[in-house]
Amino acid sequence: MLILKIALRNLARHKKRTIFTAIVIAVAICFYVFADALILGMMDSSYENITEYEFGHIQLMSGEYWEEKDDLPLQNLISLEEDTLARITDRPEVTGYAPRLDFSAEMTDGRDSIPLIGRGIDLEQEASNFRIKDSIIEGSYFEAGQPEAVIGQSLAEDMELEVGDFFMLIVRTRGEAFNVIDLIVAGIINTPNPYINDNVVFLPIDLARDALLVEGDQASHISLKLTGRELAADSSTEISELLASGPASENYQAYSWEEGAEDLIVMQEYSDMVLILVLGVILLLAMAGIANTVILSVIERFKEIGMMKAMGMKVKEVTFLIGLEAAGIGILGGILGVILGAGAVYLLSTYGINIYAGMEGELDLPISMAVIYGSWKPGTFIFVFVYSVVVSFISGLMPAYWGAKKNPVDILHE
Amino acid sequence: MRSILAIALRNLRRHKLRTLLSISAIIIAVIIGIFYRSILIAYSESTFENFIQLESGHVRLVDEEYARRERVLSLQNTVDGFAGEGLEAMMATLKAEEAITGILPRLRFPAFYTEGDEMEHMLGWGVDIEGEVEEIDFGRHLAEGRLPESGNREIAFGHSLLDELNRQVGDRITLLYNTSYNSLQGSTFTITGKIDTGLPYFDANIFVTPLDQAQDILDMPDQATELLLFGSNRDQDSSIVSAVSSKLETDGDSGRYQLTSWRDSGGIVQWLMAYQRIIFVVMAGIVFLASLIIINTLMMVIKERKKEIGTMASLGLKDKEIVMLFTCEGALMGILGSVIGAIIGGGLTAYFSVVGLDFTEVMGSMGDSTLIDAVVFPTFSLENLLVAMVLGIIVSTIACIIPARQAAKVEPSEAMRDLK
Repeated sequence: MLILKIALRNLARHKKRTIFTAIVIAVAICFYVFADALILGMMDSSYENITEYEFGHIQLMSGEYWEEKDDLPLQNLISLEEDTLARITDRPEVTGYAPRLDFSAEMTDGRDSIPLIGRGIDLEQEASNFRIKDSIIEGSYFEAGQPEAVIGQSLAEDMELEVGDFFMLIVRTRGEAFNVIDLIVAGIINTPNPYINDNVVFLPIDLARDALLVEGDQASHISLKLTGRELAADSSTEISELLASGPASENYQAYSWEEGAEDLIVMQEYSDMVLILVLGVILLLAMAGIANTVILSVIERFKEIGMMKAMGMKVKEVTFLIGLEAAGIGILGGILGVILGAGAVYLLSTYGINIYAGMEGELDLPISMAVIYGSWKPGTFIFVFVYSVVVSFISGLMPAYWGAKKNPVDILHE
Repeated sequence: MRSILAIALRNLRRHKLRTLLSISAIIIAVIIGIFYRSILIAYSESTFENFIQLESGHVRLVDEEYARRERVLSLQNTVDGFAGEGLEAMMATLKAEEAITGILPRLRFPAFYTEGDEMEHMLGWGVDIEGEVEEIDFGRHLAEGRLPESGNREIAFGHSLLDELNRQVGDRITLLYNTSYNSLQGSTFTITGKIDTGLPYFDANIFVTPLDQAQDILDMPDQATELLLFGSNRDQDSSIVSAVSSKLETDGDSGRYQLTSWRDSGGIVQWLMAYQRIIFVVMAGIVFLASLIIINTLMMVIKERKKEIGTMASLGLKDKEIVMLFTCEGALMGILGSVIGAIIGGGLTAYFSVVGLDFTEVMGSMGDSTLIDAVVFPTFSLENLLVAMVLGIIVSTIACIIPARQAAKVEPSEAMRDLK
């Protein structure tokens, strides 16, 4: 199309201004894309914290227990028949299961004491499904049958405990009496999950059951791992139905990790909102920049516009032409921005950023304290590119129309 | 000068679209500036005050070891006076310092309650009840009953904790704790009051008892875990620190005790301060945006009026006066836009300063452990309004100067070339 050719040629004529404006857009795009990838990375990392270190993908427990879970009761525990468990673990998406017995405890070393949570775990199952064993930085994972425990690094530092040290957990048993569990520190772990590092003592589940007078193979909950965390919602619904076929008194349900991570989800929605706001502001700036450029170029080219109109081009066509030029700047800026942004995100996903440096233990938020690696989301790139082209076109239209309306006779006279 | 003003006004009316656009940009920028700043000021203020009253005072004095392992709340590393002479003596000496107008000793200790097979953990504060009422108006948090009296085994609970324990004011309750000799003991208290600070951090976890009671049951005579030092206002923190540091030097205890100003206490305070800086940058960005719009529209207008400018110049209007003319237009738009923006922004702020903005949902469970109030009442301050208005006027005036100087450079002859 002729108009396209003219637009392209015009852009080439004012290289400096075109490139400058394109760069402004490119920077805006790059920034947005980077921020998006960073936030996505943060969210991913937080979700991983939950699914790989703590909750798992699905937890099976009594409905009554779920209501009271923050109190760590020893009532309404779960115990599944073998074939029920088999039916669940045979499902294609389920990769493993791990029972846990959680309880409130007071840890003391003879000098100081702090409240925390004891988690009795099945050594093998926990090791194969969660990353506790991989997070050991000192000592080793415990051995079955030994009164050993694994604790988080910050916990160890605060209580001044090292591998091989003794400590005690004061607990309240099901028989409504106090009991003390004597333990040796077998290993110290450091995970990106601050909740685990600060508040949890891992010990063998049979040891916990004995101390708490919990019978048989009861657990607070049974954690399931799936092939992917996006399957959790549907899978938990189906498994709940499966469990509902058991005796009504049991009221066992399956809860997906999203239900256990409501705060994070809320935070993500909040940050999505903030991101959109930021996008709005940034692109408004880009719009103003484009309008500015177009005005300047139109002012310079009044004679040329007058000429075109004198030769028969209608106002509409002149406006469209200049609008195309503006869109062209948007395309150029968009391409540059996407390339820059891709580069930035690549760096981020390869090397990561440790934005929490120096803030360890300062914030009480359920955010992962790990190094953040960016996540790729091609949708963002496409969206931002299209957005910038469209916005550039539109913001060029008004000044274009203003310039196109000028009376050719007046202009040519000048 | 009057004629320039008249011309400026007339010009504004001639280019209605441009005037409208520019003024709208100014109005929006001013509204955002006023409203958001008032929210930010409000919750910074309230968070700082919460922090100062409940955590650190203006300056906090603790044992170094205690601070290092603070989470453990060890009863081994306490504040027991200069060279171990006792808390009372230390407080008397410190009160003599000019910079210090009040001291609140606190003895914080973990405790728990058991019923059936459940263990409920909580934190006890042994405090100088009268001092707290006087210094930080602690009495205002009392929701029911009365505050405990020293000499009696009485306590007041945070209201959510009280509900969790299924107790009422007037009941008795036995709590368990580890003494400073790490011996597990229990004491029975009478619940005299219910406290509502509005902060789940306090209301769901803490109970308050007189300092002498805490010292008694924990076997910690004349000691506390921390001293909160107050000056006449929170900007006195550095004078307090220097006054007390020199005292510690002379008494040979400077290695043992640690003084921390509320500003350096980390966590929420510094996060908020960083956030304030970010918002400042964002505001600057918005101002920049508004300026761009003003500049753009003015450029278009100048181009259209080249002839007119040339005419005026040839009639004797000096360059300086041309610049003043456009600058005037800018100032007038600025004034109008800023005043309207200030009225709307001020109105919004005034309305919400009464109604409040509820952020509880957004904060989620983070709200359980934070010192940020969930409901924010923006501060209505005339100063805020004035600053925003003046800024709006100045920025729009300056924004007009740039294209105006360009306009003044136009040669009259050039501008009039096509005049027939």
